[in-house]
Amino acid sequence: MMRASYNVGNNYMDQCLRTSEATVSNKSGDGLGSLLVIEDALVQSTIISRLGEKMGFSTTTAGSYVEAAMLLQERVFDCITLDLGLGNHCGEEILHLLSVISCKVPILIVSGSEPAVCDEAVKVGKSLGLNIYEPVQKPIDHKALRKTLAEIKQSL
Amino acid sequence: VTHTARKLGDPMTSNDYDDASPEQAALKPADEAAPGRGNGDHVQPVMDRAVYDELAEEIGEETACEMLDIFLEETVARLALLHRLSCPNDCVQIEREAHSLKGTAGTFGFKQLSKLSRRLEVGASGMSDAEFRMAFGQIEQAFNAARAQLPAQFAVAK
Repeated sequence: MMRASYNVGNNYMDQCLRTSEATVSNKSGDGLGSLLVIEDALVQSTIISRLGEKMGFSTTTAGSYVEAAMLLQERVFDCITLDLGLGNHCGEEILHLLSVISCKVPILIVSGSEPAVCDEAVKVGKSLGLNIYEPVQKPIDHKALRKTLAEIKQSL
Repeated sequence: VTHTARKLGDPMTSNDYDDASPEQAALKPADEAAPGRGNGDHVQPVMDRAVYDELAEEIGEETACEMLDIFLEETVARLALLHRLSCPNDCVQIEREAHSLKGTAGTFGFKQLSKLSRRLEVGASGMSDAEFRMAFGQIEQAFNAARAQLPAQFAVAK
């Protein structure tokens, strides 16, 4: 597994320090694959987390780009789900960030964007050398998400 | 359905707006008939209960109820925010809010609300403010209809 390590600016760190811990939930379990759910909508992140837990992952939720960047700097995850819309940031910014830290873990886009937009993000991810899976559309296709998470879990 | 969901499931009245936060108070029921009615568009069901039931099966009944409560609360705040926005100046934010509403409404099976939100998300960049107000009014009505239907939906369940 890789360890996130990269330089960040002072403004960024200030932002991180101001970020509320309350929106970061962590249900850790020994021996479980770890899943980072990057999703700014509480309802969606809860659903993805529950499904992840059903598939045997321990889940951590990042509700913003800043929280995600902070968590990726601090910890190692076995799998990442990514929403393409994160407030003022877009998911592709996270893809670039993951590329900068040479992330090789499975990345699964879960998005309500048009399929063409999701496909483009997958192309960008692949061009950046990321281990990116076929996207899951919102409203979340539960079966498709469980199936993909099960495949990923098995591959760990 | 939790107590909160039942309460939120009741259609809002003038008193509800009086008691609401300043943001919620800005959200007033549309007075005019729903724009677009009779324009030939296929009308989606207000709520597809099967979608909610599938969600409850996946994440558990209790969590699904909690999420529905959160959705209802968030949507009241989101509509209040949209009410204050205008096209074309705020179209990026309008698209973003409509995108979020589209996805979450669809998650619970609120198909009409999701469809109208998608229409706003896709079309906001080309809308005049009057067109935006019309689209917003439709969304507001769809949400109120969805919320009003919740008590009946859950009264017949289980």
